[in-house]
Amino acid sequence: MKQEMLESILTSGVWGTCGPIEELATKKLCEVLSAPDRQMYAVLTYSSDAAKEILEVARKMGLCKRDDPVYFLNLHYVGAIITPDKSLYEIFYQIHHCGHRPGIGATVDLSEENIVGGDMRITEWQAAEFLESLERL
Amino acid sequence: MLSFPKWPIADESDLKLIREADIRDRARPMSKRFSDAFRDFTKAPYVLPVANGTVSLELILTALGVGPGDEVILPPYTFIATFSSIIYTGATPVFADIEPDTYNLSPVEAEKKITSKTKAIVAVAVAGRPFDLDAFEQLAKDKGLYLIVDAAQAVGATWNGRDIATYGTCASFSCQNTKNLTCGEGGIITTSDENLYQKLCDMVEKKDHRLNEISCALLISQLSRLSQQMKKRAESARYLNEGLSRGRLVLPMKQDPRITLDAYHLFVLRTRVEELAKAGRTRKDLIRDARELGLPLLAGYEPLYRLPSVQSATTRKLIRADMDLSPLPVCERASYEEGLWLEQFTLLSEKETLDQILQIFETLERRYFG
Repeated sequence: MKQEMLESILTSGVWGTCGPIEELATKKLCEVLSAPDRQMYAVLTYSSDAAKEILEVARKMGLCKRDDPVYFLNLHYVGAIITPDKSLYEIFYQIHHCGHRPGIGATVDLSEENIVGGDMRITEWQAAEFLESLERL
Repeated sequence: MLSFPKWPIADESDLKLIREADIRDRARPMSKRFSDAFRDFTKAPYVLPVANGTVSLELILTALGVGPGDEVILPPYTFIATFSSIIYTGATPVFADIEPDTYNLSPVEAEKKITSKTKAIVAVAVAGRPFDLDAFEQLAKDKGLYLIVDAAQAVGATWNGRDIATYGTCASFSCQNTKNLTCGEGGIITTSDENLYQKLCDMVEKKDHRLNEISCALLISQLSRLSQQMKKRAESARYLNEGLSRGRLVLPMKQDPRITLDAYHLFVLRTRVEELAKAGRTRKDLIRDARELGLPLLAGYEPLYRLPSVQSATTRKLIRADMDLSPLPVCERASYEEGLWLEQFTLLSEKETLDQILQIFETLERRYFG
């Protein structure tokens, strides 16, 4: 990983919990995977097993069907769950981020959320490594 | 204007270590180095770094065989992770009320909730303050239950001179971005049970719940400054508690001599509800007015049993059992009338800032009572 990237994360004070590098890496991944007629949505996770657990929980909660379009990305240091279905993506996001919907920060306030989420989030270090890989791609 | 230190704190020593780490390294030397360092720090026999503090609780419960049909007792005054880790195993969470002067799970109330289905108690060291570990260890022993110490906020805390990591069947820690020992996201499990440790290691490998190497490197450097920061937080808390005790607005939390080190992940105070009512004020007024003067007071947790997500049909589908979501009086008062939080970095402030905090409370007291 580039030295400047390490230093910028370290001094930013945001080392994890859905930080800006993760947002950037997710956006880049979706750009790579999407076609003009098919927008893809992705949630990055700390491992591919964690991504699979999101799907398992969603199914057990009755929020996702067997034939829903869901894909996985598996790298050694990061995983992802990917879908073209925006409403499914929002469910996956909530399960990976303690119940918070996309765009909501890591607060203790969960008074308006409707799904009990777990924690499958990645650190900014993992996101930065992944972003570099995508850029090389 | 109040000036608080930035959090997390990092310098060249952190950078040096993370430069040495390779996120792709399957031998995971940094993970081993951190485990050794944390073992030395806590004296816990077995240490296992994992992806985060939610997963650590879920792994512990699963390794102990907790699952559908089992009941697990927990406090409602905690972060959602304590609850989610239970329902993700399929077990049924059972809420027991908290103590009025510590906001930790009450051993008396927990005992009342024990049934033939109870398999474990997850007691939380809220805000970094150890709960009554003597009482819970005895209760778990007497009733043949597992005691899981949810020390997500309590890294470094000690009870009767022993690190919190050495209590219970297992202890679980979080290293999320706001925590006193942080790497952005991370968790740690400690136990003295070798067989359980081996089982947990196998589960972490098999399902890839490992903590990445850069995060482990960062934890090594962060751990080296933890003791110094804890000392500073404790001094600041003592100073604020002394100053605030003289006023009419708030009460400090109970001082228990068995808590030999409080981790102070949060600095918690209790609104003097009845006193404020004499001036026609409530906690809501106090929080709003303090914030207007630059002090970021927080109201803290809502009771978990009141969250829409906890009450939802999707949660019931996971556990396939009914939960008792009746309000618990002490938790209701802590959540809606009394509890006040300041985040841990407040306690790392210079003395000038601490004095400004005391002045804000004095200003509000004059405003309310004349």
